[in-house]
Amino acid sequence: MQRRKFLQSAAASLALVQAGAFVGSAHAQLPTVLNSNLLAHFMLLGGPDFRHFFPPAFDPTPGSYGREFFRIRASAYEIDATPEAGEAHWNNNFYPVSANGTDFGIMHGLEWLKSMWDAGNVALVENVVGAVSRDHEHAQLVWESADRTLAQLSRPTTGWGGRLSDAANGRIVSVTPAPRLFCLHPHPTQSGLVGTQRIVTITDPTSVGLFEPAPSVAVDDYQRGITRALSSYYQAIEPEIAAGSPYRVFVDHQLGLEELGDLLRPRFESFAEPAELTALYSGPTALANSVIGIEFRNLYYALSAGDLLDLNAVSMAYGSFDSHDNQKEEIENKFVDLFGPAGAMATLYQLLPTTVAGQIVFVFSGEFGRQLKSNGGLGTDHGRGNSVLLVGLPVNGGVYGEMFPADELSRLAEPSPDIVGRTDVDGVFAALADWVEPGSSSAVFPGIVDARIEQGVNLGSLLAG
Amino acid sequence: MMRWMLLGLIVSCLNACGGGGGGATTPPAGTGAGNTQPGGTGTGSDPSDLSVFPVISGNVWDATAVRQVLRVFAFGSHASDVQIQVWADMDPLAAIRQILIVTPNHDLLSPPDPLDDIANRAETLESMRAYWASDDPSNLIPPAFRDLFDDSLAPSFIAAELSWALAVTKYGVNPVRHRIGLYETNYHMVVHQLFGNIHDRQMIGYYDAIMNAHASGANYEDVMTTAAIAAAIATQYGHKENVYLNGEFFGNEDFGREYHQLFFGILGNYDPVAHEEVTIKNTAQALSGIRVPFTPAGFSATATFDAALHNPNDLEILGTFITGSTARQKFADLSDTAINHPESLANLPLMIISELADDSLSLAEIDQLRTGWQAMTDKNLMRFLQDYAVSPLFHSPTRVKFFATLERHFLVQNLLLLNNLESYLNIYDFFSYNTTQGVQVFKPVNNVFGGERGRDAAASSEIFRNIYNTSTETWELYANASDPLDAGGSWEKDWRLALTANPVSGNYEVEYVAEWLWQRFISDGLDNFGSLERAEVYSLLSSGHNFAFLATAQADPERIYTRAEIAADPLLQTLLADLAGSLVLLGSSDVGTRRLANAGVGQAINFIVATPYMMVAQGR
Repeated sequence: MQRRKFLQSAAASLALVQAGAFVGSAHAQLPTVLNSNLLAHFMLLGGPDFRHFFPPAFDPTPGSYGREFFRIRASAYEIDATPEAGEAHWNNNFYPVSANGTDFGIMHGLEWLKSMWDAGNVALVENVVGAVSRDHEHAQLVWESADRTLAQLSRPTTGWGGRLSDAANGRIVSVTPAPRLFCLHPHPTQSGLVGTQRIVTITDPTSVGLFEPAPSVAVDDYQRGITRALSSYYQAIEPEIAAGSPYRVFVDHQLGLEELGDLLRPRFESFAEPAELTALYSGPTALANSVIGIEFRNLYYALSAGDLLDLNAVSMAYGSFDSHDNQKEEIENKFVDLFGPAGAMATLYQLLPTTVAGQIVFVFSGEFGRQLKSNGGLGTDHGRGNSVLLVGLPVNGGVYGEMFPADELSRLAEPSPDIVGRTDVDGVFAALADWVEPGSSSAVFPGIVDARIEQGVNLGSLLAG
Repeated sequence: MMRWMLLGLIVSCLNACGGGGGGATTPPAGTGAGNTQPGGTGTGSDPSDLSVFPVISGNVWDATAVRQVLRVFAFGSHASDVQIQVWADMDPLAAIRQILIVTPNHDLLSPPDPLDDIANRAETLESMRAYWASDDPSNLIPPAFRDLFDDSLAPSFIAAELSWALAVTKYGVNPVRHRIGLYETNYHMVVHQLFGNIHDRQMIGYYDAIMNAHASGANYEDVMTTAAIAAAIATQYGHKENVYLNGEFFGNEDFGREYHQLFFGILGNYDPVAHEEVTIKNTAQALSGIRVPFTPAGFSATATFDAALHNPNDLEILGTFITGSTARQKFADLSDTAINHPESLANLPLMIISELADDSLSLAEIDQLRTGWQAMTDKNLMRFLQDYAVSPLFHSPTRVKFFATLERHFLVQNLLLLNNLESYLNIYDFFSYNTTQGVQVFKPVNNVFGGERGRDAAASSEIFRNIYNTSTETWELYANASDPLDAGGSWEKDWRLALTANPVSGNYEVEYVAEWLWQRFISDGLDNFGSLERAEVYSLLSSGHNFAFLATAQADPERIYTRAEIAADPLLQTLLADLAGSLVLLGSSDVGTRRLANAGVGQAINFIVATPYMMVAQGR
């Protein structure tokens, strides 16, 4: 870690401790260091409207972006389209910050994120684009594969997280019930096939691996009979089922789960889940969407086995950011879930040893952005370009790219104006891949050679170390 | 938990209602009577109708082929072995015209059970929901649980799902209708009850409107028009607020996009700018005026229309002017255009088949599907599926379909259930799919982009783990052979209701039962039922123990045997032969022996359904 960065991180840590953030007592249950830097990929499904949370500062100057923004977005904020209402909304709902000479805001309620911003641990990469279409399914395919050449209705392929774990010869953890495309990796032996062997799915840490009867169960118990029958059968057919067989994936699952169960069960069974973590998904303080609390619980368990698993990446997801209607109600509480003072990120970082926190970067993004103007349904419709949000102690905070390009104002009269992409998605993710596994980006992103990067932006400086 | 709560309460009800109690009042499942179907679909009623695809030969069309169709399109169904053979002996096209129909009842696939009256209440999902919510003396849902089906008091979100899940497994209800219903409402023209705030009455109304349209033989574009202007869609996408006032439009363009993309497969590649800036925006305006009244029980199941809020002008959509003074008229006109749009002609048949039946379409197969679809003058979903299901496309060994959680779950349920008593007793925990996180009916995991796909389920070790552990950790679920009833007596499993004795010997030999079970659940013509599989299934059937337990006389029960070892070792061959010839005493007069034998069948099923072959449907 560079000295400047170290000092910055240390200052951030100190600030958070003083703010009561690092007061957890569960550090002892986590390894003090992970085997590898770790990327936490957080899909905000549906196309998140980042500008809703990070708007330009209100500017009374007629024709300025800061004035026009609140007019053209008035219905999404559920305010009148007047300068007075815009100014009041700005004053009452955002913390003013600035970067690269641009003044903008961070929404009230996201105090943990604001503290991380102040500590220099939050980066916004602007004007990032993946798919050229505004089709969710296609855009997610492109985003999670980071392959811009994939056409609509393409068959599933590998994800860039899976390819990253493959390049690093490590594992990727999925904390969603079914692994997302992001996790799928090249098959270890068969070229052109998709593999799942590197994926560790953790959705219920209290029950990992395949069931084994308790030692007290008699040898001639029928439960032992069926358990042995299946276990021995799968081991016996393992050499018979070719990699290209549709049945192979299930054999791999069975063998992998037996191995993982042996590895993780002793660790998880002795693990005392921190109460703060439980409170994210259970009880009166649970998040608005408790499923997100469960994902963070699962992540924490994965980190507790960080010394057993060579983790390179984690796949997480939060749905329903497709805010055509009632955007304010639909998405604001979701960001508070994530970044509020009692939210998932604050809770997690409260529990992480600083050394481990220093090895993790979260990337929050969705398949596309929204249109520049809100619609008549108190929401916003599909666009293309968007922001990518990076959070973590290794992040060199700031804004990478022009935040509110002036040419957007001249396009407001167009039927469906949106943010013009200037940086291709793989250009951003390549910087993350190289941070996790130095030199891996060329293998992980075949199209990186022609990926566009916005003029004047140095993504190589996004991350320290 | 729910299983046992239902179990106890339903048993109480059974006794109170006098609707059962002895457990032996139901007839064997399906006798194979070739009666005709009431309420024909209007499609394919003439067996001489030509298929848009080549039809497989009679040699390929055998009982295994029929079972493969039932696995994919009917959750296995409750068809008897006799009936399956009757279809196998018919001309394939004539048979498939009988099999794949979406009438409410389908006596050949799902014979009525006199235990209850559901066969007479199966007209719609709403009529079944109302039956299970009612105090009708024949309703076997216990009174304490009938409220779950009652959506009249307040907005509810579980009655539709419970009704569907019960309907799918009931004798007397057509499983094809509800398999297609699942596809249409959870994968194709999706609404999400929770994300969209779609109350049960809206959800059920939407479901029934679509399936009634299919059952009436409506062309696909007309079915999609019915869906497009439905209250549930207007609520899901929010265009119930779209208005056109004083020449200005206010609203969102969400469904203006998804109508083309999700319903018809039109992505806009024909002219991306025009699609984005003209077609989508004008489609959103065509929706203006649709309203959904709110009632104390939630949003109405039926949309209304306010002409004063509608843009009455002709609107340019897909490069043509769409006419009509109402949303319904405009969408009827638009759907006629959309179904014949080049992108829809290219994509819609692939969307249908890749969701329902094939995860591994080759370019050549894609070409054939498109050609077949385009050859249909009147685009009719069921007719297309019928033709496909007896084509080489479906019966090719290159066709691989990974089962999604719901597909596999209800396939296993239906093959386990031998009558409606077992269903009402909830012997096999019909709701257990719900414990797989994210998998629910009418609450698809990808929101309007649909439920869990088979290929996603296959990639998930967690889903595999749930399946596997169901067979091991909760092995008694499938091996359950009897349960006491509250008022005395007991329910007792009797596999003889579905399996007749070996016609040669008059007995139930292990080999005979094992092959029948493998074929019932796996339906591969025993292609994958080799020595290893036989060794375990024979052992479990005959003793409840695994093969190594028997082969090593308990000395090394975890020993792993290979096929080569079994083939080369005369002692193992002898053991296997002995096991094959031993008897499964399903009909023993000794109750303990009889129940143990039926439990052994369940133990064998535990093994079979946890093999890789139960996760995939592959052509032959």
